[in-house]
Amino acid sequence: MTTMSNHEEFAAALAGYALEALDGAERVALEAHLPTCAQCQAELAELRRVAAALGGAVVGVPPPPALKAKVIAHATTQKQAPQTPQAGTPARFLRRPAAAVPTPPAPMTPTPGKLVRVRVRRSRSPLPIAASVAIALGLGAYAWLLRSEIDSLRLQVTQMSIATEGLRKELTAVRNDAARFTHTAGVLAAPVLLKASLTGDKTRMPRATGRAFMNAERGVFFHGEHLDALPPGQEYQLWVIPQGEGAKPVPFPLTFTPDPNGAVSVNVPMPAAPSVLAIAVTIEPKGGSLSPTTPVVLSGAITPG
Amino acid sequence: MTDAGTQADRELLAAVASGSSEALARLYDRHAGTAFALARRVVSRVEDAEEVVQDVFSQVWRDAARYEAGRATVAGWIVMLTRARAIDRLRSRKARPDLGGVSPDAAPPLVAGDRNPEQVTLTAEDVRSVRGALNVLPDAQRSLLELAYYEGMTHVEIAERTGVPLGTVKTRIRTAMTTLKGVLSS
Repeated sequence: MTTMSNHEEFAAALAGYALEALDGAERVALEAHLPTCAQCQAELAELRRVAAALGGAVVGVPPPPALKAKVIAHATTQKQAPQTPQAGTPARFLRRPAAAVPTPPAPMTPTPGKLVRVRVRRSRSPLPIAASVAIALGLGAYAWLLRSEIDSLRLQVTQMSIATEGLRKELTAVRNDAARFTHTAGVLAAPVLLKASLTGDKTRMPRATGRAFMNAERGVFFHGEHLDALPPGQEYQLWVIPQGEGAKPVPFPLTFTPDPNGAVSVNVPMPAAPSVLAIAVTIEPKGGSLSPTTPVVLSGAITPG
Repeated sequence: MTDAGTQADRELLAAVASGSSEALARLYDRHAGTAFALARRVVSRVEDAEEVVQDVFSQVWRDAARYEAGRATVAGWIVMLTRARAIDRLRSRKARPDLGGVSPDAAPPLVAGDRNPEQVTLTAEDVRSVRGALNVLPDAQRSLLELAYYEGMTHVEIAERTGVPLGTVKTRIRTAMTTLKGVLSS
């Protein structure tokens, strides 16, 4: 509603404004209109009556009796504001607080009527009256500035906590990457390293290639390229082909899907195989199989590192 | 709040402005019940509600001299202060961003436009009328109005929370407020 431009639109937004439910741009636009429109001001006053009555309409248990003494003791230790802040207050002290904290902005006006009979404690000050008043004025304005500064700082804290959360997520992602690379480096630096250069099946996936580096303790790092995209429900699976005629392929506990360019890099623990003659890749139903269900698309014999 | 009550409140507030803690105690007696009930409705936890009430009466003490009566009532001021402080506390507890769609630097200054929400009138008669009318509002309107008033949510936040389209949220809340306004005495 940043395009509010006529009275009807502003009038429609007044209920939300009285509830402080308008979002930024809409609120700003309405606040620009209000000083120019007596009709909207009168309507807003009525809607605020409704808002105040909503606050007064809540029924609940009374406050604990002990609260009164605590509240009065706490409140009356605070400095009282003698007047409104100076006109020259820096703009940064005048930000709108988080929840539009109402602070009476108007100067005190004489209150008509008889004062109720309450004893007023007045401190006897040795300072000349003018000096006392000047100090009180200064303290009042200073307290008001502090209050505004607190509201401004509260907003900053909120913003910083959002930023912190974003950084925390980035840090987690970086840590995950670092762990992956550390694992890869561990495999590649293993003293006993087996390697395999894999090539694609000439009819099923002729362009595909792959490299595998293996160490019994540190696992396997496999990198493949030019792998075909797979239909939904299918994934690639790595196999150890053991030595010996008719030896049953041993599945790696991992399936993978290449990126849109057909490339993939994975770290995976070494499965328990009696021996390793070759590494092969098949296409399996999602989640993998215990033995190959389709022909090999990529394979390579093991060579010592 | 009768007219006599409203007048007594103003006199008490004037005494508070002169430094009378007894006057503050009497204002507390008259309004702490309402403030505490509203605070609990917003923040739920008793401890939080107690601190809200303490903040409110502390501000009444500090700012009594700045209060400008006009057509407003002290009760209205206290209720609006209570809601603002309670929603502050609710937001800080949820650490919910409240940038209102604009950055703080772009936020309007406190003194701009007509932002004197404390300049409100609240009478016992208004409370009775609104309480009665709330009970007959359609649930679909009342629930959205309550999210705005008692949880301090904006139209956009309410739409996100409830899944109700933004335009419908605005219309229902406006209709509810218009209905409630209709029951106030002129």
